[in-house]
Amino acid sequence: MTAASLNYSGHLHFRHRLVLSVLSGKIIKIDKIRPGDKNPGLRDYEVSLLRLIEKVTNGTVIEISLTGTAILVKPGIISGGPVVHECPPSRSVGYFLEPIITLAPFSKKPLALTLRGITTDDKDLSVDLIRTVTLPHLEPFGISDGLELKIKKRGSPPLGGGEVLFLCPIVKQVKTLNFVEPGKIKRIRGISHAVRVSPQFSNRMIEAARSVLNRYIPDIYLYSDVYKGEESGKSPGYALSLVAESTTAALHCAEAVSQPGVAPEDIALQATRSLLNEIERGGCVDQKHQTLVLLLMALGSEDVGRCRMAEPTERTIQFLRDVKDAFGTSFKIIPADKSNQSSHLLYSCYGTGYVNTNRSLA
Amino acid sequence: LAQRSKAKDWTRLIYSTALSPHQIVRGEPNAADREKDEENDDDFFTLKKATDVDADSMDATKETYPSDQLTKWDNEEMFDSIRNLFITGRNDP
Repeated sequence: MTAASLNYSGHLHFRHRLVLSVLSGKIIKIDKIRPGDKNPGLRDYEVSLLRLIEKVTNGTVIEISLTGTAILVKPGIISGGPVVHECPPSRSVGYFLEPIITLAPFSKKPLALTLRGITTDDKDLSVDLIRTVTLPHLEPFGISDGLELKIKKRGSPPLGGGEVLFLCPIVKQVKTLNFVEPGKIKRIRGISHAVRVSPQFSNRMIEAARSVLNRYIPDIYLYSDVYKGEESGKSPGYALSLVAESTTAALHCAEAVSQPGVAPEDIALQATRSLLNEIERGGCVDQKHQTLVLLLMALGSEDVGRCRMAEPTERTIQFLRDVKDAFGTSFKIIPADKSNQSSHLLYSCYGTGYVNTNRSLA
Repeated sequence: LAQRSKAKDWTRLIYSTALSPHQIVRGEPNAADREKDEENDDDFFTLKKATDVDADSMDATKETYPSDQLTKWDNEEMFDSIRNLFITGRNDP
């Protein structure tokens, strides 16, 4: 491994760059973080994420410049264990969980992370989607036993008040992925919840979503998740998350969150139509989880991993470039069908054979 | 547009060009934009090029679809076009 550090400019792609730095053990320097902004430098949630990374690692040194427009991180080892973190109300717990999920399997001790804050918002993956879609994506890589996300309390924006517990086992090495058959959609599942508003809202969303989806497939189960009293957080809100599962266990998901002045039926319709968009786009992994799967493919054992997905997003493109900086791994991306039937692409790479050296020897 | 995107050589665009991710996804900058840049060269002072990204653009995983992407599902033809992706649909598209 080379000793060179990772140098970047700008505030974009902050999370995956930190993750790559911690996993590769390379020092990361980021400058020009919102230099021309009225409120320059790091935002409170970015500082909070740095603090969280400090908590799940041991020996990490973080230096933030006086103006907050430049940072330097010398990553330590990923230690895991029990950790509690308060998330600021500016971002939901999903913002913090996404990067942590990629670090946790490589820690010294199994991670038991309690996060408090907003559990569902319109920017990041909600805890429902992380539990039902993101975590199952880790299974083919050999990360499954003891992997769990418990939603103890829900918290809607703006005040939050939710609490989740994330449990993650440790692995020595991740398996090579070979996922090229998207299959056909066999069932649709969903979770609808409403906190601090009439529980009837939840049922109205389910009915509206059913009226559309039932025309495709009969195997639909939409669950109304009820949280009462203390468990329902500090602010009112409701949301519907939908997951379509294929015969080869490819997952496509969509979600819509309550907005002021919009009827629950319209929120449900928004979620349903977004799901149809996702299904139309197809592939084995949806665009929201491209970076997660590609990262684990790059870390996989020394063999060729393959995955069929739709076109990369802007985030994914930058991510692929950053993976090359950190690990020297580049992906081969070719059309999945010779006949040009679909716009799907086949992503393949030779795994780096990343070994969890933090793991305590039993 | 669909034709062009199929012809894209993603491996080359990502690893051997300096194009920004935005340019790769949306296509290369068109001629009109480039002309605009040249016009500015006549001025003695040039405005510092506004960066592509505004300070508040979020590092967010969830994408939101523009409303026309959602209302298209009201169309029955569109609605039936993805039936073959379900096990209940027939195999021939």
